[in-house]
Amino acid sequence: MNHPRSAELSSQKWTLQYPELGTDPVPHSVNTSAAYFEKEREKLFKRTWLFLCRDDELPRPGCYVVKQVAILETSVLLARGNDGIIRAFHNSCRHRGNKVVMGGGEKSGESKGFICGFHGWTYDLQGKLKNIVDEEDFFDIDKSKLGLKPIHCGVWRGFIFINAMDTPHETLEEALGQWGRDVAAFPFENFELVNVYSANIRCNWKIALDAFQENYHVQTLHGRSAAAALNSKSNPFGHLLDVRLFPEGHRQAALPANLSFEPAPAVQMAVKYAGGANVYAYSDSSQRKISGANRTGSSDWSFDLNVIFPHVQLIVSDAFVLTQHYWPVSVDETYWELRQYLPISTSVAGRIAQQNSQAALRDVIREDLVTLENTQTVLRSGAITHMQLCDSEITVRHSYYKVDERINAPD
Amino acid sequence: MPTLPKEFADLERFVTAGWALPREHARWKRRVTSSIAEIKDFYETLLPRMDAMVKYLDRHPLSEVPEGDRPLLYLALAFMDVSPSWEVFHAADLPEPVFEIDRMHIVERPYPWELAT
Repeated sequence: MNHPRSAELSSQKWTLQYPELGTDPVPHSVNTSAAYFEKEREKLFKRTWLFLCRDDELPRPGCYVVKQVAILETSVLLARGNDGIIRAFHNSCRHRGNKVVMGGGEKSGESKGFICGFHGWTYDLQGKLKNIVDEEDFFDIDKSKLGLKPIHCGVWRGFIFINAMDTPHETLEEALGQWGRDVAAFPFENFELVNVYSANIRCNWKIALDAFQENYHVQTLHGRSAAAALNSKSNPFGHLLDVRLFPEGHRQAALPANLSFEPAPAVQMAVKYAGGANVYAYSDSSQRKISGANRTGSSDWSFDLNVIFPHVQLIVSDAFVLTQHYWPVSVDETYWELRQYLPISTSVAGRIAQQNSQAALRDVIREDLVTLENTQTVLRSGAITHMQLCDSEITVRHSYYKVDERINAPD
Repeated sequence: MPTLPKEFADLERFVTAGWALPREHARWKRRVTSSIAEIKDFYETLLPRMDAMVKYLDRHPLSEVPEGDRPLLYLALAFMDVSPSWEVFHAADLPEPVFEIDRMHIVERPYPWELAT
């Protein structure tokens, strides 16, 4: 396919470049149907490589993290072994299935191994069963066959993925495809995690993802905040600079910047203290080559909005990196988790500059969050059966298309 | 007893008013529960002082900020946290309806001196 290189160079619409998507309104019932949600669980999430977290959450051998993954109906225990390798297990004791690391929510720590709090069975960091309390009281038990149940686990550029299938249909590398090969060049190692936000939100996971994967809303919802830094006189609705939709389900959209925007005083300070870009201050991007991003080399580029199929937003720019997980909990509940990364700073001036970006992003994100439950609540009425999607919302259209493709695939 | 270096004694009243908070979540709550008059006073007083504050604090790398400098650092961070209120929204918090900040769980990174202990 011959995709146009930028919005300026083409009067064609992106959506027409992908005829398989069509241009019809998209049914909304998939966001309220409990039956469809169960199909998403069985045919999509349980059969797909899912981005779980970054490996900076387990920096040393002995570090472990527990994630409650409702859509997989399990609790996932990640542990970095003494060999440095990160492994994933069902957090479930081979004795009678109790959680080895007990409790809900996220847990993390450092340990030499794991002791089940129920009857004291002990596992090492590699998942091997090391000790059974009063072993002689059991019948023909073989410890070597009773390690923690592993989950397929792979790491790409520090991103840890899991796959719940006994035998995945494809390798992680195959699942990431061309998108993974391209974005792998981005210098993630130049960024540090500055904070994590999370919340339980009463909406379908796709409603949450949609609000964060298109930029048509910028001119209205962020009309007071980010719009002036992104949308310009020549591109008032923020038409995308580049769009790529990948057969594996991932997608990438390049968003514009307004180079004539005059940032406010505190933002200018932050730029001065840290050097470089800020969420409210973009300069000519053709002058600063960023590997793995701004593929078309556009001058008025702000950031690439990627979606790692099916449920994670990944924004990359030289100003900031965001990951946002939209974990399905039930048909109308989502666990949202945002991780914000900024260019590494070791100076006090740099730390103060980072705080400016943190404050700005937090406000913009809260503007987005307010729409989610407002949408879901009304959808339950069934009054709105279809959503009307414009060309700038091609990522939303692609998202429903790829999810539906998996739901309708033969078993 | 003053908490700020003598060069910044004029800002002591903001420490007294509870702005020199180490945690982002606490500064955030302080911001959204302030009056706009209080925001304006804090923002406009610190704006012309920030360069001097940053220059003073930058005597040490982030990993070695002496205890006596930290309230000044927290004030500088609070300035950045407050700045969108005045520069973007002209209000302490976002306009209604808002996603309540108490619904957002935040995990903040520690300062280097908190890791050392």
